[in-house]
Amino acid sequence: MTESNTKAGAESGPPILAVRDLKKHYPIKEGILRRQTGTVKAVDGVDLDVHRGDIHAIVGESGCGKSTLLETLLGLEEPTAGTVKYEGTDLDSLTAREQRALKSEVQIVFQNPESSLDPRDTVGQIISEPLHLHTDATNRQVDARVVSLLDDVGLGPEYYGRYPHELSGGQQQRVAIARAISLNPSLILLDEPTSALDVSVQSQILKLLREIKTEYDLTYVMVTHDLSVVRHFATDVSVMYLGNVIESASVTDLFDHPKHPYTQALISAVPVPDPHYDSEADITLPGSVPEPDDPPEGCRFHPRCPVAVDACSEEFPEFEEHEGNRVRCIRVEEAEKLGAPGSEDAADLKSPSTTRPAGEDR
Amino acid sequence: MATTGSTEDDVLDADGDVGSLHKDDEIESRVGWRYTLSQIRGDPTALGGLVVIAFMSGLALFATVDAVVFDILSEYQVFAQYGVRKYWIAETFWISPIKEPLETPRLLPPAPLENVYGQGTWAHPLGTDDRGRDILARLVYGSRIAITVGAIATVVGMVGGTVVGAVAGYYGGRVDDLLMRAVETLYAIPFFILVLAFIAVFGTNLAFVMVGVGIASIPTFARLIRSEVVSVREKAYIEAATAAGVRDRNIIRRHVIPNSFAPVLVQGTLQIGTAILIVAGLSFLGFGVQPPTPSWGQMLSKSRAVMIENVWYSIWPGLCILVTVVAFNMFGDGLRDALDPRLNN
Repeated sequence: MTESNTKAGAESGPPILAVRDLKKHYPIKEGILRRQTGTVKAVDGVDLDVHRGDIHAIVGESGCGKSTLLETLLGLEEPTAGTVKYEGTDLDSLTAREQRALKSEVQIVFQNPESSLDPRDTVGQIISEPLHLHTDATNRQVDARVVSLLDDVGLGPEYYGRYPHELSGGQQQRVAIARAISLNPSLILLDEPTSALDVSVQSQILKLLREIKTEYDLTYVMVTHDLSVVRHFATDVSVMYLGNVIESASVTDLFDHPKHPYTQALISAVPVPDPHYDSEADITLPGSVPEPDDPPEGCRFHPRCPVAVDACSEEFPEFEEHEGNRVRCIRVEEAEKLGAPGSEDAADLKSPSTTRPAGEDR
Repeated sequence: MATTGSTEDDVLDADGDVGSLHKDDEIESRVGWRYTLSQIRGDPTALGGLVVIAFMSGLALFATVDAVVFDILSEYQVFAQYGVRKYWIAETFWISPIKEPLETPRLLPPAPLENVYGQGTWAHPLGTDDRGRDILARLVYGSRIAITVGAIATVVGMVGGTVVGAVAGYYGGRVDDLLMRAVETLYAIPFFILVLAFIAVFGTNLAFVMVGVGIASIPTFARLIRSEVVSVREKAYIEAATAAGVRDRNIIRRHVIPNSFAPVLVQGTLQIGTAILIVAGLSFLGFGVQPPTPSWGQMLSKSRAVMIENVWYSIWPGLCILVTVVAFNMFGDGLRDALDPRLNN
């Protein structure tokens, strides 16, 4: 763990992104009359603070609402309830025109570069589309800008006229990054930016993202399920379970002393490349994630929690601060006895730098 | 990818693509006209279709210049003083397709043959019609109607169907329901009846016939492109464009339609054949092109009364329709194969 992973200085000013009690519910409609028979609570009351310069990772298993959260933050989906404040400004209070202007401040890099680039456009057309849209620049100025953006992401000008299918996955993702930074945004949402790439290329893309972040003074919100990427790339982590953030902390705090029983189980599930490692000691959760159209009462996690008590099924606790971690759990002390991996040698073995030989090199 | 090198970063700095420099040269662009044409060149059936289409289009172009362009130019003194007039080329160098020469026998068979009306002559290689006009000349000038009608009707159907289908598929929900149910109402009415109803309302003018056939074919195109759009709209590049603030209208125009268009293009070439057949059928019934303007369907219609006496009169226009329609179908099939990446070797 190095300096780059710890939080850079004291947080000052309002968070660049403040999410309060954000909900996104999808109605389930059945029959020819389209009667609503239920609700999928994809995102169900998420609180999130992202400060300027952070790399805020959102982790959780498939279906916990990570991607829906990103789409809502991006404005692709209307939130059912709650507020998203961008640099202190409520998105809902803006007119359509102001919202469009704000869209140049928030950009996204998708998981699969193959499908996020229009196969019928050249690299030049792909990167220049937002430029033509949001600026009055002439074609010549736009072309010059595109070439300099290509250079920033490590591609030569000869890529200008190529089609996406002529590029490798890593090069495609570089083009997607160039498109995202073309309008000098301040916040970039990364939707599993490396999970579709070869392990060898992943580290290159992460390195590029880090360079770009410094050069363009960016803030990242990253959704991923790859804990090794989180540990070596992010500064802060929020753990999601069934549409809720259940623990939020800096990356060092979260990996050193996870507080929520679910976070502990999650970190314990990282495979360890040691044949003598006793995987019996890993925390194994019973059952599976409940359906988001019928979440359990009280704490969403209590039916699977090894330390749950009756009180857990009555009320979903609010965030509480424990050693720098903000946790939504009333059983933190008991959970620590589960054998938190952070407190033992196992933590070193579980260090993803050893699980991924070709991972980020610093 | 081996990552055993001691200077892992050096190897990986090239994005793990050291070998792709060669790969790039080998990959042909699978997008664009040049690639599609190269595929068709290797397909004899499609190539045959293309040759026939090119030949017929050439004839039609020539006929259009002679029959329409010269007709318009003859209104101006500048051109008229040189003798420019309708059917100028035909009448100067060959034979008029519309004038009824008194001295020529009617219903002559092709050149070396003989029938009850007389002996065929090389002056009229394919024979003469019921008014003594040269059949070959009328066939050449009739190609203009077939090709124009096929192209314009199809373009009307393609444009209308693409807009309706793309909007319905992209927005989904109620817009989709409304547009597609409306379009399917058209689909439920037999094609021919629909066109006849259209003609009954707007008149038998050829322009209305073409537009009518086009509108009647909108459902085919709309349903086809809608099914493509429904899958394309879920692609991340559509989301990326939305995130960049591109308006829906431009997303549909710039991203959705181009990526859904291949099957429409194929259906379009097939539809030209159908449109030619429909209009020939309408001409046969007396709608569409009015005499003396030559058209294949109308020739067929006229020949019906004398089919026993001179079977050749009906064979020639029928053969022209057949060859043209089959050519468009052959080309359409080839185009479908060329545009389908799964069939590319």
